[in-house]
Amino acid sequence: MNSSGRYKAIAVIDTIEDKILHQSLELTAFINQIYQGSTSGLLLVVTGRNIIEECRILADKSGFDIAAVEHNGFYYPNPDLLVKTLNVLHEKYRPEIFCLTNTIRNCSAVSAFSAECGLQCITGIELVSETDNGLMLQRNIFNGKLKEKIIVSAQQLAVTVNPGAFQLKQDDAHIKSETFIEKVEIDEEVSGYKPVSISESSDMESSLEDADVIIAAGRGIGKPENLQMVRDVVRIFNNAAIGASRPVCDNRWLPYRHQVGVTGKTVSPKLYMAIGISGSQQHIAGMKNSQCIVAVNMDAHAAIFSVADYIVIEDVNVFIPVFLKIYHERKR
Amino acid sequence: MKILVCIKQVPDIESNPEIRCDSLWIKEDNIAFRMNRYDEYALEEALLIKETIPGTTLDVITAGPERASSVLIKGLEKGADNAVMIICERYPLSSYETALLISNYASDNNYDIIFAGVMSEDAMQCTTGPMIASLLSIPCVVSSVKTSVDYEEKIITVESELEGGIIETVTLSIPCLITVQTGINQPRYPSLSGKMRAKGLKPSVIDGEYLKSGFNKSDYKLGYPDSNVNGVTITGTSEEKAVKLLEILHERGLLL
Repeated sequence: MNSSGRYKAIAVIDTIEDKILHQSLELTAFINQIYQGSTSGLLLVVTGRNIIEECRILADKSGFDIAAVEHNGFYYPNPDLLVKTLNVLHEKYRPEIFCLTNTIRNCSAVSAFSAECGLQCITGIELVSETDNGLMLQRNIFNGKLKEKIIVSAQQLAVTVNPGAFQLKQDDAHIKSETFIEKVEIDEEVSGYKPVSISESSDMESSLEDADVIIAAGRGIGKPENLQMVRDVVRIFNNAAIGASRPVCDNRWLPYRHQVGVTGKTVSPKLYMAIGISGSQQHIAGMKNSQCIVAVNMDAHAAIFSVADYIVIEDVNVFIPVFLKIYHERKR
Repeated sequence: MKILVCIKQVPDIESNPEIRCDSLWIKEDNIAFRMNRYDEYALEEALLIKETIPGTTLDVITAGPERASSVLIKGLEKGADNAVMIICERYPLSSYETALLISNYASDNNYDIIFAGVMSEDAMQCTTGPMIASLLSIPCVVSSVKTSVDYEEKIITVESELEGGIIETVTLSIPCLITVQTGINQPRYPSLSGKMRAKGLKPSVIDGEYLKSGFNKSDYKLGYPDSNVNGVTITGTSEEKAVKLLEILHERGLLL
């Protein structure tokens, strides 16, 4: 990769309703790793309706130059306007890399942008390493059962980076005495895409966040009737709640408020016991920070085992009844 | 109303894929292939619209090797009117290549709505749908969990799911592209009459080899995940495993 412009890398910081979502600052740790400890050529992009003040605070705190993009349409996430913004920045700076946090909206924006401008597009990066052949970016495929390792050959890249994959460290802070805040104007073009409102899903109230123990059911339980045995496991713990993988909620076996994962709840209980969950990347992202993870699954290659502290390779519908029977026998 | 649904054939994720010796794709023997689950929901959403708006035609399209036509047959059995197979034996295609092939076909056919799944279960990129929309210069919304069509006003209102259970409501002008999240509906099974009707239908075939090179995927290799070095595998009979696990949980003071 090479770039002659003022900025080598552009990172888009996520906002909703003019508030910065601080997790996306992890992108600076990603850039730090790509450029082996240097973030001097990094420009942060922050979008919103009235965002300038937030940008000033962020610039002072982080020491990075910031492009503030104000537009009424940016009050809610707006990939349509974001593509236009990326186009403007691409024209102006020709950076080597555009990076965004891996969210569904950002994937939409980078793919449309890269298709328009002919950039290589890679989504869901979880690991970076330097190889003899150049920079290698790794992502999950096949639900985490396989990895795709991509050697970067393109001059310019547009990528999304998995949340949590690159941790922000205190000493990563980039100290610069003067930061530069630039206002970027976007054309007021008529677009067919209009965000109208934002709401919490009505079904999201749950006790998952407060539970010390989460017993989570996956498709491996086979049928909704088998949720009873999962509920029976919940009963043998203090302050426990029932969780679920997305397919269990999609099948209407449990309401979506029980869903753990990227589109559901992110949890970190004392114990997370995954029963018949294969462990999609989206699910793992929502529970991997639990203090202790027990996974029961009959597929020895299940991706959930990659984050488990204790691995039980068993058919859940055989093992869980045995587990409960022995618990109750010992209790007597 | 004219609707196109983009469908991908994917390897069954539950089976444990082995990597081919060139490390570019998996060994296909002993692997079952089926319709991408996200696309099943996209197809169902299109079928529901077809049932409510009279005169709607619904086409299904896929790009890939010849074996992928089985997902189009499934689409026809479920109620699609026409199927389009873009044959490309070179596999796997990048999402940009797939988007080019599908948008080239769609640009001549004036679709009001193009549906796709939010991602494919094998490549997990979330990119093909938005790329098709970008190449056709039509608006696109991703991750729909509810779609309402006002055909008179040519406006579609979509409830689109963001991370953390937040819903964003978006309006789109027709023509547009919508990617569909799972759980939005309950995909149907083909009816017997649908299966009979589909027997008389054949996908029309387009040769996709015209894309040739120039859009190749970059240099990549598939690999297996590093094995978990931290996790302890509990061994023994089912009873022994249960006892060991209960002891661990007891030691941690978690059990009642």
